[in-house]
Amino acid sequence: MEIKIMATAPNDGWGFIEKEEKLFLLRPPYTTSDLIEVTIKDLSKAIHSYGFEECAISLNSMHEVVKFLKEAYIETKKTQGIELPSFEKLREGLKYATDDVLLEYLKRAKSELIPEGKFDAAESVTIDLMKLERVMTNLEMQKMAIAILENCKEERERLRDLENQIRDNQEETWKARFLGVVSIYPIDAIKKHQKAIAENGQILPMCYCGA
Amino acid sequence: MKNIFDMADQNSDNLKTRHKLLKEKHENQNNLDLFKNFIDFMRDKPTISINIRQGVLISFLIQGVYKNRYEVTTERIEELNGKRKIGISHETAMDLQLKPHKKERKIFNSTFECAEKFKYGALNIGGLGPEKFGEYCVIIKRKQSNEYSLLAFIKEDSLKYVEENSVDVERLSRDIANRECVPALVALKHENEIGGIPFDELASMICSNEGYIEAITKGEIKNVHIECVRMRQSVSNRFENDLYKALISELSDAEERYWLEAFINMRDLLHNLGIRVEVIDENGN
Repeated sequence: MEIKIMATAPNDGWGFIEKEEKLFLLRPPYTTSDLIEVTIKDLSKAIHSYGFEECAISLNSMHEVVKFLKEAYIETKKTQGIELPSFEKLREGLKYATDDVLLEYLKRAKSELIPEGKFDAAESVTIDLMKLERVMTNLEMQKMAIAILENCKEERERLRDLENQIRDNQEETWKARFLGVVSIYPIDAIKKHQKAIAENGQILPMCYCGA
Repeated sequence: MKNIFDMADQNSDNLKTRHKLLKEKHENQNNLDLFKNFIDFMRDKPTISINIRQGVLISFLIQGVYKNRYEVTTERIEELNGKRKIGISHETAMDLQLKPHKKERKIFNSTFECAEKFKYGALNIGGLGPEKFGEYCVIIKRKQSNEYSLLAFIKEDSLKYVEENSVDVERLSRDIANRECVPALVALKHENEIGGIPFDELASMICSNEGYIEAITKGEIKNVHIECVRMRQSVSNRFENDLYKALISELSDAEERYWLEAFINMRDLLHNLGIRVEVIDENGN
C-alpha cells in the first residue's frame, strides 16, 4: 500500500498524507484519533496559511510514515542545536501537574512500581513529589508519600530476610531434594541463580541443557 | 484590486435586510425569543481565535507578534540571504515552498489589497476551533478583537471562494461581514439550526474542524492580546503520561522527550505572560 506524504510541518511532526485516494492529516502522538480525514482545500489552506511545506514522498506503510515524521521532528530539533533533554530537566514539568495528577502518580507508584519490585523508581517519584510544597501540605498525599517510602523499605527488608533464609536453608534443601543437581553444579552457582530469581520475581525456571 | 474590509462594510445593508427577513420568519413561527436569544448571544460572546501548532505558538510567545506565512517566509529569506550571501527573491522562495498551491494563493492575494498582511483566524464563542490547523486554540481578548480596526468575517474559509482562475467575488461579497454584522452572518449561516441546537453545543457548531467563520485582520496580533490558550484533554493527558515516564526514567522516545520539553517551555512562557490555560474534555467542558 503506497502512502504519499503531501506536506509536512517538520517543526511539529505533522504531515498531510494521501492514502487509498483519501487525504488525511496525521499528527503526534500518531494514534488512530490523530489521523483526521481532510479535504484538498484544507491541504491548500495548511500550505497557504499555516506554514506547511509541500513535498511528495512515497512510502510503503503507516509505520514508515510515522517513522519519517518522527525523524523529521527530531532532526529539526538537532538543527536548532537543541540537545535531548535530560530526565532531570523534564521533571521540572511537575509544576504544571494538577493535584489530581500528583495523587495519581503516587497511586501508580504504590500499585504498579512496588509490586513490580521497582523500588528505586517508586522512591524516586515519591521524593520528587515530596519536594513540592503542594504535596507536603496536602494530608492525603503526604500520608501516601510517607507510606510509599516505608513500604519500599519494608519490601527491601522482606526480600533481604527471604534471601538470608534461602541462603541458610538452601544447601540443606538442595542436598536433600536435588542431590543430582548438587553433584553436577557448584552450590554457589545455584545460589546465584536462585538470588536472581528471587530479586527479579521470575516465575519460569532457568533451563540448563547440560551434557 | 479590491479592499476586503470595504467589501465587508458594503455588505452590511444586504445582511441587515436578510437578517430582518429571517427575524420575521422566526416571528411567524413563534420562535422570536429563541432567535433574539441567539442574536444576543452572538453579539455578546464572539471573539477571534487562531489554531496554532506548538512550535508556532512558542515562536509567537517569544517574538511577541503573530506572523503570517508571508512574513515568516520573508524573515527566512533575509536569514538565508545573510548567511549564504546569495540573493533569493521573495517570489522565488514562495514559489519553491508553495508549488502547485501557489496558484490559489496567487489568485486570492492578487484579488485583494495588502493580502500579504492578512492574518487568518476564526470567529469563536467557545470550544477548540478547527484543530486540524493546530492543537492549541489561541483566544484573543474580546476587548482587543473589538479594537482591530480592519476586521472582516467570511461565512466559510476564504479559499473556498477561489475558483479555477479567479475569486468568486460576487458570492464572497454576499458572504462577508464587518464586526457589527457578524451576528446576522452567523444567523444566516445557521438559520436551520437556530432553536434546534442547545446553547452549550453552539460553540462546536460555529467553530470546529467541520466548519467555521473565517476572520481576517490586517491588524497586528500581539502575545499580550491573548486571553487564554485552550487545548484538548488528550494533549494534557500526553503531558501527564510523558511526565510520569520521565519521573521513573522510562521516557525513551526522543521525540516524546523533545515534545515534553517544548510543552514545559510553552507553559513557562504562558505563565510568565499571565495567559490562562484551559483544558477542554471530550464533552466540550
